[in-house]
Amino acid sequence: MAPMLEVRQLTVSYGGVRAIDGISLTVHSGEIVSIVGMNGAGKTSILNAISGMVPPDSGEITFEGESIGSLPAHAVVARGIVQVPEGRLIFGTLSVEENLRVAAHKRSGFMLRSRDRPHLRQLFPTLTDKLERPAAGLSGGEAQMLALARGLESEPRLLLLDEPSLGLSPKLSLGVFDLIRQLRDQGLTMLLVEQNLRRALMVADRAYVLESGRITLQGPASELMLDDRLVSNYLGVSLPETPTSD
Amino acid sequence: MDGYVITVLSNIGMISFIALSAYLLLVTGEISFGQQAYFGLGAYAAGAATAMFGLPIWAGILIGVGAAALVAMVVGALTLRLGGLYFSISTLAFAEMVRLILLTAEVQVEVDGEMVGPDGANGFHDIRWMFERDISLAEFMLIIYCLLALVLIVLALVERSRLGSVFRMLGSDDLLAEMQGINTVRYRILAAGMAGGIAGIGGSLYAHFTTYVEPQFFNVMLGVHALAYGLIGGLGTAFGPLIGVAIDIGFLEAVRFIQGYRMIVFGGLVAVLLIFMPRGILDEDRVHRLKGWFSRRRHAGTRGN
Repeated sequence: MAPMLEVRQLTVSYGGVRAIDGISLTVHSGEIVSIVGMNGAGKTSILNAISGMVPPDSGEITFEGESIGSLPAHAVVARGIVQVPEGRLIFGTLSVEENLRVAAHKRSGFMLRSRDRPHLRQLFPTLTDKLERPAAGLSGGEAQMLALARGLESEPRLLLLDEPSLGLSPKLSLGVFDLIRQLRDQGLTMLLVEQNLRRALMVADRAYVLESGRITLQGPASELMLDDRLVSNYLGVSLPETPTSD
Repeated sequence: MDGYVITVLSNIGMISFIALSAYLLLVTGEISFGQQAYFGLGAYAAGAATAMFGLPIWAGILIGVGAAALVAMVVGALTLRLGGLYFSISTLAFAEMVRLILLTAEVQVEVDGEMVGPDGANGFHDIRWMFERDISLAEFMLIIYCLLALVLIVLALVERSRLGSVFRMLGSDDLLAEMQGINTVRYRILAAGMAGGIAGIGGSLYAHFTTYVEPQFFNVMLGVHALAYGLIGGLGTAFGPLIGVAIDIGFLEAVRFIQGYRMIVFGGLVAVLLIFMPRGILDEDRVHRLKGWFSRRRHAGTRGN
């Protein structure tokens, strides 16, 4: 079966500095694929290139058989790719309801209010009690939930999750990964960027390891979890008996 | 009510339109120094419709609004991609361009043996629709406030709708809004068109209230005041800019003892408010709290019965 998302030889740079250097990856329908790597490895740049937030230097991005590499960000969302950005970016001066309403562009017209959200009530019970509150008053965990709920309101076919557990307490980040599993069970396809290697591999089907803009390892998450090279690459220490990947 | 009070109240009403126009753009995060151009275009277009072509005033207002909104959308499409400071500068440049064109344009037609129409620096005289029909100043003031109420109702509906949330999102984070699937440029052009149209209503009314308009009235100070009204009164609700207008024209201009010092007091007031209330008296936070307070009171009231 053809992959839902295919990225080929993608290169991204900022002001002449190369952030992503010719990477290729695929995401199949129904999968959770994770990109793991350290800070500055270029994980977010890949997501931003897919979602149209940064223009790629070269390479091809195809989604469901069509090239989307040159589309503006809002047109990518219309195709069904929705990014939940890092750092719980929500609109603080707007209420929770207003944050959700804007993302629900497929259901609500220009002037309509869409209050009926049974699926959200089930996934985000704490949010639905605070619909009229300004989003700025939410706790860190609630804000992340709002960012996720808002992403789902756009009815994505592919959800791009950028560090959803960043800055959350261990208990709250467990809740986020629980939610990701629930969404997978409902059939949602996800591309997950994470620094938390263990959690990412536990929830993902396949993973790519990114180092300085290049993919150094890839494979099924269950295999990568047992791979010594990952430990050495990830922690930046090479164990004497481990063969290097080059 | 004597004529003076009616004139002051009418001025408050008419200037409120340009204040709301600048406010709508401030909400979407754009600072325009050029809304006076749309006020002026509305005044000239509506005046031309009634005085030169004998159309009724409602048609004049529609033409004034349409012309202002259309030009605002075209200018917006050309300049909004610039963003931020560059947009502000280009609005100022455009408004000065409009003013200079009106200063030189002489387009007159003969009506009842008299030449009527824009006459360059001499202005556009004899927009007498209201006086030819014996409509008193008080009656015209009623028309002004009915239209103002209509605009406020539309803005309140927008504020409660998805469109209103989109506008506020544009004002707080462009890129994040784009990530939500919002075509930010298209919504900005829409906001610019709405803002131009609202200023156009004010101009249409102004031309008929004073019976003559001159390009000098639509100079940059009008646009700067329009911005200041929203910043004083608050950006959390459309009633904010009206508070700004009421303070400036209703209080400062009407209170005789500071006549001549009005601009000094006004400028000082703007500076002090920007330091202590950067988003005005009725900012988003206070509006939220007021709404909460009112809904709690309502709930308490129904429980009491």
